[in-house]
Amino acid sequence: MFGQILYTQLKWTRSTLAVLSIVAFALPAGLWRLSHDSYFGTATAMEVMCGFEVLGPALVLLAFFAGFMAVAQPWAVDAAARHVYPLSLPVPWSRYVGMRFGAGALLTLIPTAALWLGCLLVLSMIDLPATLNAYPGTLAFRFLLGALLSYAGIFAVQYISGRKAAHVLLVLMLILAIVALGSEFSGNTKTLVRLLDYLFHSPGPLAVFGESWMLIDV
Amino acid sequence: MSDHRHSLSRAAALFAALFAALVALLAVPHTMHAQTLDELRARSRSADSALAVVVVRQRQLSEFGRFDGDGEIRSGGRVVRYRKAQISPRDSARVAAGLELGRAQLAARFGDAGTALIDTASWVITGGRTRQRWIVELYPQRDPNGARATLPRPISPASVADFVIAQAGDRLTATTPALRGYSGWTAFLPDQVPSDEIARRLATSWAATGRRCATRAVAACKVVLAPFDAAAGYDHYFDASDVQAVVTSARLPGLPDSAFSVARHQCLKGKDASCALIIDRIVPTDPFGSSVRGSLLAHAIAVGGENALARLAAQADGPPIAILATVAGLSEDALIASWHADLFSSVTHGVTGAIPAFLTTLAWCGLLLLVSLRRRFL
Repeated sequence: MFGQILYTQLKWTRSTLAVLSIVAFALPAGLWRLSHDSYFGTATAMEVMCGFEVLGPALVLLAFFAGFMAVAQPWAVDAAARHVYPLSLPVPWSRYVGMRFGAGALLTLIPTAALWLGCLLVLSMIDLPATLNAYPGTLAFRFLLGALLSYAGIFAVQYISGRKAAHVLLVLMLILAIVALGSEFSGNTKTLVRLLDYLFHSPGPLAVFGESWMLIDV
Repeated sequence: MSDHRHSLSRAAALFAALFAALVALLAVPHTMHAQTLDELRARSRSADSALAVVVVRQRQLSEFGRFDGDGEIRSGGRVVRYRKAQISPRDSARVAAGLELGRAQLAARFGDAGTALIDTASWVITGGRTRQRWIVELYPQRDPNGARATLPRPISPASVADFVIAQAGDRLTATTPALRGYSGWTAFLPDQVPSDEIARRLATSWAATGRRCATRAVAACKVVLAPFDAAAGYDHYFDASDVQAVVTSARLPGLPDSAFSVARHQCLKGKDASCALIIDRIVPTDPFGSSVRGSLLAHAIAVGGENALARLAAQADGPPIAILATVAGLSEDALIASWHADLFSSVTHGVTGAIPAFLTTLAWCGLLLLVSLRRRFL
């Protein structure tokens, strides 16, 4: 049954996965080309670092988007049929949800693999200065973890709150905005800094996003 | 009908805007006419006098002895003066607590040698409101070596303690002539300049010596970590590939020199012959900064332990790296190798660096999945 769920989920999300994979594959080379005259040739250590400094934040956004889409599309298909298919299956709801979760999590491997290949491609074109090292595997691994975490978070919100998921997300964003604005206007940013520290440092839930996502570093 | 009226009103508005723009342009010739050489000289004179006023005010501010505070915070042997109208009693109590906390932290790390660095100091707090926020500054009184610090609001004992420790570091390097080129406050508060940032600064340095140091060349690290010497010659810090970076960042000659400017322009376009023409005339700036050297001081103090400052006081003369080796209780080469290893081990990009994030993410994903399974939304 898991194979069937994986197959249908792949079928529903193939276009999005293809677009995400192409973006993930092309992003390292594209950013390098934007900051440099050509794909090939030598560059100073500073130029190499500057050339890829946007890659990390861009991949964080892409990982979040990949996780979001991996939840949203299957949910939309199920919701369009008023969840008749999962409810008609001879398995408990929790098992069905578990399999749905597993299938989506497995599919995040596709853009991850594309990113890894894209990193290897761009690294093959650059003469890396002796002071720098490349970390394509670690970056791809962080991307996978980021996509998984955002997938799990959105999945939880979606499958707990059902049709009200959008409202829940809006409320969460509103609370965050109020806390940020309140601390800024009151001049007491310490609470906000402490909150962000907790969220983005291990063992906080968003620790993987708080690390440095660098393809090339010392 | 209404469309016709609407288009008429739009045309009228456009015409009015065009007319207003033309009227505004009438003032331009007058302004252009005013900018003769004499006019410009007169304007520069008035700008100079305005600058002089600013300089005088700055000098007055730096004469800390004239500060007419009406309040005092006494903590141990130190006195902090302030104006009661600017600092609330609660904040002054926090400053007093911060002074004690800073002193206690110095004593814990360095013993009496640490507290001796600040026991003679007295400080001033001033407050002022800018458009955005209320700023409180704390600075040493009658101490040209001391720097100001803006205390974050609300004032906390921890931020005052950080100020005290930073001041102790600055006083250490200011009163030890051999260590003048080393950042004292970063040595005492090493967390403020993370090691991985220093490692990146070396690896991407525009000076070849810095990049060689990043690849574990001890001799190059000794050049990097010694005080910067602008008269040492180009080859001491740079190689041929650095010339454009050196020309870009170097200080320009004070007097206008069109030949120099043309050669510089050509050099920056990549003409090596033009670079050779001007390379002897430029004064290169310090490519590393005092915080890179400060990281060695911090490392030597950390390795040296509680008695590090006492050893420094015992041998305050000589080459800086030799002094720091004594402080750490190591040979020069061993100190630099240890500093390098410490610096570059802080960059964690290998698989081992990702394991904590992997475990954390796995745990949170499992928790979120469990929550998702617990409730049926329909």
